[in-house]
Amino acid sequence: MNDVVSLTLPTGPGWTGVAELVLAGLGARLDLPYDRIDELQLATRAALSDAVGPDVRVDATAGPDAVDVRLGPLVADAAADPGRRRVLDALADRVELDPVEDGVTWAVLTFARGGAR
Amino acid sequence: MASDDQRALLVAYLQEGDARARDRLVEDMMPLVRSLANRYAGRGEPTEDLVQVGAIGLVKAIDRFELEKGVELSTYAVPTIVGEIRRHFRDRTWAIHVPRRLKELSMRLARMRDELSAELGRSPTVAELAEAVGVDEEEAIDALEASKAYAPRSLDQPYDEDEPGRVPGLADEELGYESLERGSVVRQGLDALDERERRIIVLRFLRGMSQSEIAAEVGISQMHVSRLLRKALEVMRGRLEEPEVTA
Repeated sequence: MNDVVSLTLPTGPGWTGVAELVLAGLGARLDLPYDRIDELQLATRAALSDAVGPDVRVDATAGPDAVDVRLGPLVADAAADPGRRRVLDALADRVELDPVEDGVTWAVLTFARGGAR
Repeated sequence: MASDDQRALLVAYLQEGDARARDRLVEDMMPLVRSLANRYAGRGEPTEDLVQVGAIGLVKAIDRFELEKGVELSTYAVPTIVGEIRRHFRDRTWAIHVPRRLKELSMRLARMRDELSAELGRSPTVAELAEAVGVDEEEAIDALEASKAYAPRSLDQPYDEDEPGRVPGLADEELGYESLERGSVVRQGLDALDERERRIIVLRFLRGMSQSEIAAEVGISQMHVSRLLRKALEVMRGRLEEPEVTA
């Protein structure tokens, strides 16, 4: 069974730290190496900088092999720039972007529970 | 003290090992240390602490002084004293108010993170870090998060106090920095960073090196790499949001 932690936060850099703190707690519960927690936080911070709208939602799902963090809504061209996408690709094991709908997209960042890369 | 007297004391200490001569030199040059420490007063650290730290820099300068170079000791000592004071700020200053207990715990955790990484050959978990320093996991997380309020070194501060502007390691072209498209927003963001921050970003995101590998390569702690990555991404973000850049 998967454990899910969901957060709805106001959009803005002042709130990103709240999401990072919760993800650190989740990572500790899952016994992730601290480097991995740090990169989970960094990737979340990087992705949330493209958030759009008054609120942002972060759903972290802990499965047996990986943690998936789905977050958004993000601006439609969030990963259009290859360099910006490269930042997320370097931090997460897999990065997926939902098809754009109503001018926004959502990102799913997957982090394997096996250890730091 | 006249420079001839100072030189005689340096000879007595450096060539004859007379520790009292060094003590006299330190005593004589403490007004210089106080004057330099005062320049950094009012930035959140007690001035007397800065004087003590500056005195350590002075002693290092005396120990490393080379008589044959023919320069005044004060000329030689000033960069070392200032470097020591700056290092103190790097190691001790925080961007926001953090309780002393958390600061101390954060320092212990940062050291333990490096030690356990070396010992285990991988990054430690929060539980391992907490156990190693004797706190519970929640306290460890609090302190680890608080450490992100640590102020990284200023963007324009040289990496190496002895060779300002020079950062050891590979040149940009060797790192693949030039391979980034010139029009790319990340390339534009990278251009906004100082050399060391750019290097760390490139090592992490182009070379795919882990934080611990970068820490070893650049010669700083993993915690410091983490803070610099955060800071660099913030700077890049700020730059990317400038209309004239993104247009």
